[in-house]
Amino acid sequence: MIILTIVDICMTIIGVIAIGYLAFRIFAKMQGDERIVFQTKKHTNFRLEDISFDKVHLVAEVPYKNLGKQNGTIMDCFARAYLPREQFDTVSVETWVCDVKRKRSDNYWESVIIEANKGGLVEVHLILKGLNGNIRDDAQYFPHMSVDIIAQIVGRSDWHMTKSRIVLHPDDVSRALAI
Amino acid sequence: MAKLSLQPVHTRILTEYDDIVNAIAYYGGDDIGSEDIVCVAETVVAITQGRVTRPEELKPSWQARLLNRFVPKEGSMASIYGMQAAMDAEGEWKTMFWFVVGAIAKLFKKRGVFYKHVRQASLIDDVTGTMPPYDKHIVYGPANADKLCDKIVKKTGAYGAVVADVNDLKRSAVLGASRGINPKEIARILIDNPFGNDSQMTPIVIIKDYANVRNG
Repeated sequence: MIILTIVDICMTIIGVIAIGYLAFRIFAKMQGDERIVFQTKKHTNFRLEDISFDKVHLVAEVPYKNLGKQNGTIMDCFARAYLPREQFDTVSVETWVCDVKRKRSDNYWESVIIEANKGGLVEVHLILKGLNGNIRDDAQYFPHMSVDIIAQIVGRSDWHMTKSRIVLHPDDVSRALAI
Repeated sequence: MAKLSLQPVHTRILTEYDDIVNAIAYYGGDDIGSEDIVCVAETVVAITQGRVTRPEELKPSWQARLLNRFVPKEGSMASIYGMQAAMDAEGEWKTMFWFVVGAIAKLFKKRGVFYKHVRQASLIDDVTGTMPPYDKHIVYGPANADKLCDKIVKKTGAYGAVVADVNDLKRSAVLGASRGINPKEIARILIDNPFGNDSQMTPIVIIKDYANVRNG
């Protein structure tokens, strides 16, 4: 009899914990989280920002939006250009990303909170430098170059990294350099 | 009391590699007199005490994952990392206990019970709460604020010193004070946030001639 009572109590406790856990999971699911996405399909073409004899500075704008139900924070964000020397070896690339509302050129991303259903724009900056000294010569026949926007994002749950890709087209480079 | 003059002191960005007492003596210099009170912003004190961490360094517990879901999305405790930082400082079970008690107290229209008993929960600045390069950090509240204020007085020869938590929303609190200083009175004097915002880099404010005005 006593054993049955103890088993009953244990089963009740386990049942209450299980129901509580299930209720919490349902609540968390309904509450949601951030879902910050970089809308790369809507990015602008790279445009000329500045040019000198040996380098050219190009900028494109990429919108982002928090499609989730909770606030999210972009803790860090940077760009990575993929131009291996096997593909093209006469230009080096420098990159950075900044929020258009907090423009800066020190390659430092200032953490920003994005409210649910709100968004903004980031600028992706590329400086192409001719390794032989003349960017117009060095950037001739420039290939398609992938640029990833890499962001560290946190909301209600664990921080995570995202990668979103845009492409610098040869036409953008030619247009900027007038070649 | 006659009108007091508040003098913000500009500094470079102070980090965990700085000593706040030396920094106050250096930047305050001759501006700090024996009748003055030196006020220093609590975030900067905490940073110079190394009371900072990063989300990457924290391992959120199930308690943090549970509780953060019940905090409004605007607060520092709404993130599992902010909540975990508070739990690391105050204890996971203590935080959980006062969270539940606070929730029950709210039903009886008594607010702030949780934050009163889990002080770090009200003092922690989550990511974005502080200016670069600490915008990617979680900054705790300062430690041993009273002792620190006594050290500041000893080093600078000021009449008194306080560690203050002030913002533009007319919220002002003194978290630590040197002996003989009335924290509530100083909090009232600082209510208009003479520290300005982070980018002004004025984490020190001197209340000029306080002793004279008060006694005179």
